[in-house]
Amino acid sequence: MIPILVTSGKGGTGKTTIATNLAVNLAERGIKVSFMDADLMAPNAHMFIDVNKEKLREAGKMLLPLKVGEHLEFMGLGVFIPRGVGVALNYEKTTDFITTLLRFVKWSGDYLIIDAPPGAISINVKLMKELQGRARAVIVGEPHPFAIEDNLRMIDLLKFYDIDVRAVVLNKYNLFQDEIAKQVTGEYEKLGLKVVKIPWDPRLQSQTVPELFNELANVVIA
Amino acid sequence: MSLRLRLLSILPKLMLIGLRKFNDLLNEFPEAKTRSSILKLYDSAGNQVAFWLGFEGDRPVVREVDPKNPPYATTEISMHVDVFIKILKNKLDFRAAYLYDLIDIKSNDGLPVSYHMLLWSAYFDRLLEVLK
Repeated sequence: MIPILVTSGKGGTGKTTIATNLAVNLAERGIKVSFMDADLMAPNAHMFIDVNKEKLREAGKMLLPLKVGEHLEFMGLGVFIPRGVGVALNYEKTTDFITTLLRFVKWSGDYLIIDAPPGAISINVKLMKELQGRARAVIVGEPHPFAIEDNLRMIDLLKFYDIDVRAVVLNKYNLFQDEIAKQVTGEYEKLGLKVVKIPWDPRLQSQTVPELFNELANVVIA
Repeated sequence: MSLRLRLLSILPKLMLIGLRKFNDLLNEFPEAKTRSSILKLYDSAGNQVAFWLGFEGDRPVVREVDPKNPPYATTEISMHVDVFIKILKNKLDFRAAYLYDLIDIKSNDGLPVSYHMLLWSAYFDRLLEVLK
């Protein structure tokens, strides 16, 4: 199983949208995909996919992920907590949940897509240490100068933990000034990073549109 | 001991009903028979009661134990009696109580605390089904 960390240097970049659509895109190709919602501050990934809200099950001291169609399975805290309950986990509880999700769920996919929390924060360091040397990553950001600064910090951390950064996704590319977007693209490309541009599409507000993510999926599994 | 905790003399029977519901649950949690738990309840005056929940062979067992010196269990859970009552009245979700730091869970078998929390929440879900 190859873990693919979908992360970003700051919040609100559309990371969950990218992770969800990437997972669905791969699953629609017939690839077995596991999808883990590790964004414990905003565990919303299940909202975009048709998670079968079956009861929690266990086999051999491992929790069984929830099925989402034939090739996709899912596990995340958001499915189990009542809507609207404040999730304010301290570091100890957060890392404990990450451990459960990473080590004590019986994942069966060829790829494990991980929707990570945003920012160069301690919980991401915990994730990176767990995945050191065996994971790939996708960094999500919008094409503007703030995002570049935050993502550079994240890229540095990922490289430090020997995680293979496959692509930088410039989300909602068409909503930003062309000149700035080009400049941002150039900065990432100077670092030798593959840039994948995802346009804003109103359908993504309420559903997955996996066909928009073919290029990203190809880069990630190559 | 406070009256409130005295009223909890019905608790072992109640928790046992929950465990018997485990007959269905054992299909979902076959490892449950290898696990045991200490449930510790306290009130604001510092009174405590504790119960050992587990299986002896195929038989679910709940018995009161010394809260200051409880026997080994794979997990220990403690909460204020008011929190416990709110959960049983379905006025507070078990998982929410854990997220609000109203419940303390200890793992003694190497599994993460959150893993035990999810198992316990499944137990309380079944218990509430019985109480409805």
